[in-house]
Amino acid sequence: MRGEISPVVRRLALVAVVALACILPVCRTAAQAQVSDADKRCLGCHSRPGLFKRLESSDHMSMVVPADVFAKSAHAANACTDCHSDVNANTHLQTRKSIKSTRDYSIVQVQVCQKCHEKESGAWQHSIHAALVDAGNADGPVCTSCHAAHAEIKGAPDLLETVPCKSCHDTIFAAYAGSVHAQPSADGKTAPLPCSACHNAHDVSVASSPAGPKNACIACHDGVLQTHQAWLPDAALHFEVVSCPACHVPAAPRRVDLQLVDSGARTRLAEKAGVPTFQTPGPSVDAIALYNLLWQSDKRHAALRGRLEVGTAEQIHQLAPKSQAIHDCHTCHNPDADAFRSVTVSVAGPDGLPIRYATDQDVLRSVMSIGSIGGFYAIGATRIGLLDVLLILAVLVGIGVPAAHLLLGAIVKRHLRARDAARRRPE
Amino acid sequence: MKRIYVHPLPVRIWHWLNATGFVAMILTGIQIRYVGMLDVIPFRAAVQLHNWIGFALIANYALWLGFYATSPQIRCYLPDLNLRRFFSGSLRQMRYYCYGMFAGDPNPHRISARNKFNPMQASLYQLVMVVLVPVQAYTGVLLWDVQRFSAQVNFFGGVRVVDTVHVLIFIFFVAYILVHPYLGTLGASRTGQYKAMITGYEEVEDAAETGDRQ
Repeated sequence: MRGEISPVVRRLALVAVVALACILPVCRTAAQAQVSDADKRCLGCHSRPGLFKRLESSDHMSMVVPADVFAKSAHAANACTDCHSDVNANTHLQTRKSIKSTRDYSIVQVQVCQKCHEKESGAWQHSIHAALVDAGNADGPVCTSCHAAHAEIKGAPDLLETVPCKSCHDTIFAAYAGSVHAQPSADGKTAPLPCSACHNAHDVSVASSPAGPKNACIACHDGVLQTHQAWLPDAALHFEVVSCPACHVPAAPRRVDLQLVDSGARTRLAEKAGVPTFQTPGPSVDAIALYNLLWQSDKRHAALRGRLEVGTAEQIHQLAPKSQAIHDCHTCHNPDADAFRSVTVSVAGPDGLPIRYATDQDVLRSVMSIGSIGGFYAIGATRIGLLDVLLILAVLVGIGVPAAHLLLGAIVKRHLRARDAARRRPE
Repeated sequence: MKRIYVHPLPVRIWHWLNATGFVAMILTGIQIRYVGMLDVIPFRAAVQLHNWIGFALIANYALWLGFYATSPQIRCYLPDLNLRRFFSGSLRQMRYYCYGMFAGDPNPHRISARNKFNPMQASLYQLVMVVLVPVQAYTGVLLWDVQRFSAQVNFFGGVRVVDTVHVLIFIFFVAYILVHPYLGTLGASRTGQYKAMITGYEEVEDAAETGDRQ
C-alpha cells in the first residue's frame, strides 16, 4: 500500500533513535567536563530542582542553575564566583543575604555584567532600555531581562528564532514575520535579519528617533540616496523628512508627527514629569495652540520638526519588497492625502519615549503654521488656504482691472459725447 | 507721429524670453501647487520643467542686468528721489489713464530713449525687476534644493516660510501677467507698444501735433 513505511526503514529509524539515546549522555558529560570542581560544588546544590530563596517582598526567587544547561552556556568557562564574588563558599550556608525583590537583584547584577562586558554595558547606558530603568519603569530591561545568565548561548541573540526581544515586543515580532527582512534572501546567502541588525543590540534608541533607524537602513543599503536621486526630486530632503517605512510599507496608513526639538541642536525637547505640554485630556491641539507654544518665553529655542511616518510600531516592521514601495508622487503630494489629515505633536517624555498629542487635521493648512511649522511643507498637500484665496483675488484683479478700465473708458466717452451734444444743442 | 528707438535688441530678446518663461513658470507652478486637483502634466515633469525654466529665466535676468548695467538707459530703473516730482507725475499719469486718454488728451509723459517709462510704469518696473524678480529667483533656488541650502532656508524660518514668500510673489505675477498685455494696448495706438517691442521703435505724438509746449 502506498504511504506505508517499509520494514527496512523502520528498522533503520529504530537503530538511529537508540544510537542517539546512547550518544546524547556522552555529549552532556563532555560538556559538563568544562565545569570546574569548585563550580561543581555550587551546582551540587543549585542544580537541585525546587531550590528557591524567599525575598523581602515575600516573593520566591528560583536559585536553580541546571547543570547541563549551564555547561552548554557561554558562561560555562567562568567560575561561579567570577560573577557571584560576594559569595564565600566556606560561609555561604551560614550567611543569609537579604534581597528585596527579583527586580532589585537584576538591576544590581548589571554592575556584575559590566565587569566583563564593559563595551556592551556602556552602550546600554545610552539606550532607551536604560532610560526606562532610570525612570523607574518596572519593565525596563536590564542585562538579565534579555540574557539568561546561566543559559546564555553565544550567538543566540543574533538569530531571529532565538532573539530575546520577542519576549517583550511580541506583537512587533509577529508583525515583523511578514517583513522582507524576516525572509532569507532569494539566493539563500543572507539569513533573516535579527532585531539587532537595525536597532543595535545594546544601545537601542527610541524607535521614533529620525537618525537611528534611518541610519540603520542606510548602513546596509549603500548608495541608497543616489538610487533615489535618479527618480525622486529633492531626494535628500525626502530622506530627512520622510521615514523609510512611509514608502516601503505601502499598505500602512501614514501620519505627520510634529516633533518638538531644540532649534539649534535639533535634539528632542523633553517634557517635565507631571507638566504636560498640552492639556490632557483636552481638545485636540489647534494651530493657535501650536503657535503660542513656540512663542512662550521658555520655548524661544524650540522648533517643530515635521516628519512623515507610519502609524504604528507594528506597521513599521512590515517592510515590503522594493518592487512594492511607493513610487507615485501623488500618494503624498495630493490635497486629499491621508497622511496630512492625521497629525500629532510629540514631545519626549521623561523616559525618552515620545508623548503624542492629537492635533486638528487642518493644522498644516493654517496661516498660523508659517510661524510655528516653518520647517515642514509638502507641495500640493499642505497648502495654506489663505494663499489660495489670494490667488483667486489676483486672477479677479488681473481680469477685473482691464475690464474696469474698458468700462471706465466707455462711461467717460459717453459722458463726453453727451456733454458735446449738449453744447451743440441750440439754446 | 515720429519714431523713437527705445528698445534695443538685447532688451527685446530679454522681454519676449521673459514673457514666455513667466507664462510657463506660472502654468507649471499652478500644476505643482495644485497637483491632485489639476493634472495636466505629470507632477515630476512639472517640477523638472519649473526648475529648468527657472534657471533659464535667471540666465535671462543676467542678460537684462548686463545690458542695463552698461547702458545709460539704466536711468529708467533708478527711482526718482524727488518725491514731489514723482507723486505729481504719477497723479498726472493716473488722471490721464482714468480720463484724459478717453477725452483725447495728450499723454503727459514724453517718451525718449533714456526716459521710456512714465512715473507709474517706472515705479512698477523698479519693484518688479529690482525687488520681486530677484527675490523670486532666490527663493526658487532655495526651494530647488532645500537640503543643499538648508542653512539659508533655516535662517529665514524654514521651507514653509520660503515657500510662502515664493507663492506670494507668484500670486502677484499672476495678476501682473494678466494686466500687462492690456497695459500694452494703452500706448499711442492699441498695437503701438507691441510693435515697439518687436521692432524697437515706438511711435510717439509730435509736440506740434498735440500742441504740447516743452
